[in-house]
Amino acid sequence: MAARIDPVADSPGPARRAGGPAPDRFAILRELERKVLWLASWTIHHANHVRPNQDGLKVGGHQASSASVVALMTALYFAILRPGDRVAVKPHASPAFHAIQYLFGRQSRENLERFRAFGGAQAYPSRTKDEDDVDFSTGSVGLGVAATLFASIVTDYLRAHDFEPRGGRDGRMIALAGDAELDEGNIFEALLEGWKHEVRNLWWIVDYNRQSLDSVITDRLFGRIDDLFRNMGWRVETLKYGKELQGVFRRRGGDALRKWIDDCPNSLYSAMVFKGGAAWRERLSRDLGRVAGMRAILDEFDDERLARLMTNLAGHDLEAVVEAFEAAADSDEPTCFIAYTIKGYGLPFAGHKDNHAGLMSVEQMDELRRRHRIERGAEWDRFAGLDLPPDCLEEYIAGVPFARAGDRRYEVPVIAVPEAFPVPGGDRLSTQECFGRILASIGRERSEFADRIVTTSPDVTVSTNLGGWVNRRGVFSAREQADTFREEAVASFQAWAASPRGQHIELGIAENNLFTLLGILGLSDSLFGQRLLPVGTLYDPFIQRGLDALSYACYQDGRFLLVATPSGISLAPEGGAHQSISTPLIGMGQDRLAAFEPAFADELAVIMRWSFDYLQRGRAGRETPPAPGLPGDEAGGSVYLRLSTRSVEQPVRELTEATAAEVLLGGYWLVPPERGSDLAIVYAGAVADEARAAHEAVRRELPGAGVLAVTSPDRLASGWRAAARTRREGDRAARSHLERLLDPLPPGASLVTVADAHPGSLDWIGSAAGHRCYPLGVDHFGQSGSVPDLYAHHRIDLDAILDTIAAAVASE
Amino acid sequence: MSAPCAGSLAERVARQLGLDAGGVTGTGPDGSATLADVLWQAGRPLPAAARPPRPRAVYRTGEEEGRPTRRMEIACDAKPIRDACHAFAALSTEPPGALELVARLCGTALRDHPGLAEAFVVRPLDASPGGAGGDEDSPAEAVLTIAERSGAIRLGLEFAAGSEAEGEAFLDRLRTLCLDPRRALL
Repeated sequence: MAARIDPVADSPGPARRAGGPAPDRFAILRELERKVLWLASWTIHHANHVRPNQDGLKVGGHQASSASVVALMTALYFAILRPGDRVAVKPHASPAFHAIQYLFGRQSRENLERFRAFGGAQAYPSRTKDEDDVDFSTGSVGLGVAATLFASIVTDYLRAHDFEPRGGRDGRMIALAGDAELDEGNIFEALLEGWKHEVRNLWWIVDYNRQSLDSVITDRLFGRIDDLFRNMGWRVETLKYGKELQGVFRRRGGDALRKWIDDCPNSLYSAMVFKGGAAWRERLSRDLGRVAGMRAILDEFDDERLARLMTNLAGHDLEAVVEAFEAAADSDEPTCFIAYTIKGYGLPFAGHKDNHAGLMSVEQMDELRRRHRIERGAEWDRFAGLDLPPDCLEEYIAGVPFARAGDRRYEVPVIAVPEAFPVPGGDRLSTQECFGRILASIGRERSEFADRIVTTSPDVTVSTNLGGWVNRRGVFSAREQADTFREEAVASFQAWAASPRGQHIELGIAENNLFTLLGILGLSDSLFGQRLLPVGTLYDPFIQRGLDALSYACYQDGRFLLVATPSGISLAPEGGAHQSISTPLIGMGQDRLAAFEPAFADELAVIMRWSFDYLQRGRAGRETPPAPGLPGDEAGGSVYLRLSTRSVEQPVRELTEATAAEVLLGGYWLVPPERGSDLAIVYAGAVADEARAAHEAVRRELPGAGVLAVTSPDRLASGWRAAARTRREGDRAARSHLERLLDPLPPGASLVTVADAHPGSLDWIGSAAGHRCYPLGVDHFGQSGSVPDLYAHHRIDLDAILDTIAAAVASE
Repeated sequence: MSAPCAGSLAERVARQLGLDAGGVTGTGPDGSATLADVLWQAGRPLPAAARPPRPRAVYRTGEEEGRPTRRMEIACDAKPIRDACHAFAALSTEPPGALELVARLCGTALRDHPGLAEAFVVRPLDASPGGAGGDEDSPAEAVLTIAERSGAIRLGLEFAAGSEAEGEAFLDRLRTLCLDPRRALL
């Protein structure tokens, strides 16, 4: 095989270790770069070829993707980063990230040995799973990048509200992104939002290796990237050629060589990189052999050096990288670095279009070991094979500003939540209206609790009833913006003055942005040492539009209250496009997200009050909350409220403490069944009127029938599964709230379940205690109509419930 | 709340069973077929949910104005909440042997009901030979009147320095009178 790029070849070798002058910074950085490359490659190799494989499946690990960013990450972590900086590392660079953390002493050998194994270092950096210093969880490409943009907005928000971020005011939010990652649409949604909010202290470093997962990316994409960022008001710094190439360009024939490389299609360049020095020579001789000066250049470099020269891209040149980063550090302008790199740089499959999932063979790894001068058995040694003495490297690492930051996961005090929230009055109310009124009443209070709430919405602030809150607390903006309509005396219910003191962050209509922002707002305590209580609103059907971002916000344990309204087929005239069906199933399935669907104002008030407490649990040594609760409640999480614009008749009652506790556990008997009764109506949310009307209609002939109000299918199910698990583990007496609720009904009793949602959200209840379930719900796309039309069409109206009860009675 | 749809439960069940409800011999007040009639015609048993409900009593102990108290809450029916008015009555045993119900009312319909408070005043249990059963003038019958007139469906009895057995005895009398749906609420 022809000579290939090999950064190790520049190493001075052991013979030059002793007696020389103190190494300069770049000599040390190059040593660390080598070690990061080795450790990342070895970690993956160990997982695939050394560690026993339990299931015969490939473990994987992306050696090529890690290799392309080794120099960029070495420069960042060992020379550039400040303690207040936060970094989203591109997912496939996880091994390089863990290697750096290992060198910092923040990652264990045991975890590296278990890379991608149970309990070990994660395949993609994870705030919740990894033990090292992960700032943002990444993995679904694009989301980590956008997270930094919204983190920049959040730090601006904190500063504007005199909530000083810990770690310093000047923290930069940095994303290390793959070039193919920029294909993700959420990146562009975020960019536009960032422009509106005048983001700053934000760096995006594009690993421009011109390879995607499958192949080579479109030629000259850099130009589009460049234009795009400049259009958004960003500074763009292109790091294309390394110092050695730049030197050659200055020589006779250099301009032609530069033009050749500039014009070279990505595919050809990548293929030549893979083929190596001899291929470069042949190709350049053919294309540029007649250019004056070119022959001399080619004659001067042997194959190995020629390969190194032709791959001397700035993204692999530590001096070029550090120089660019340091030059950018004197400004808070958002900056995009387009750093040219080679995928698999320093590894035998560098440049090959199929290298994304490629793994070095045992023989190739042995060759790499030899080149890195690492003895067998010393693979995990932090400094084995390096030329500089370990104490020199240790001393340098200990002095790196970023390494001196200590624990960068902050713990902050809990914000006290009022004992009770006011219950809006009225005979017929919708949960959406009640949400708005409760929040508006909080907005009137002068309290730290109210001051720490921050709301956000993707252009549906008014239509989700956030208006009252915004009128009192204002819209957030980096600078003062007058409410022109008000100044012009144009009547409007909605004040829209914006200022740095505002507590509502208005977003454009992009749900990915909403969830990404909510996630970061909800990490503000841990990331920036300042607790915020985020509340986000959107139309329920559009949860699915931003579902990946929602999942990631939960995955990295951002804490927020998500209010999705209207839901179901409430927006009846607007048709199926604005009607949600399966969102309760998302609420049941999404980890770290407690989902509720209340029907009445008093239920909602209890749930909202609990939510603001729940958001704060599990952090900062929060004590276990008082019973009753579900297993795991002490860890806290986010909350999803599925609300409706449909008014329902409100109960005349004073909610007792016992019933309030049941509301939080997921359900209660609105009308208790007679013990031994064999029929109950089970409903959730906005169909409360139908359920109650059905009960009234059969009450004379079926006086023992009950009505079960389900306020949270999610929590009912969670509690049921937890109790079943506890029983399996030996505690035969364990019982869930649902099982206790269903006690009065004998096995075989009929449950008629009804929801303005997929019937699967409730029909599982029949399994809990051996009951027969008759599910009613919406299980196909909606269409325009009135609510009565659609309730009849989907068979969730009173008539359908009564027919179903009749069917249940008839089938006894 | 939605208006009830056409078709009684009995008619709907009849359809499910392939019966003509009009052809079923009815025992309803107007001669129409009841659910029981339809099911009898089909040879099906009456569902358990069709059986009359029994009042439930829940005892709670607490303290009020420094005195130990017991609260007995009785829920005997299941009307929709909007129609359900909650009456909480204090049942005192002072002087010994006497029962006095003092209304503490929740719910606008009951609160606004004329003469309600008076209706809750009952005489001592033992003052009525044979208990409260059957006698139109008995205290329990007065409670029954309230229930019928106001739609009250829940009665809470709170008695100080009394015993659980004493409360159960009173409850038994209520069961036979006002809380039996065949005789009272229906």
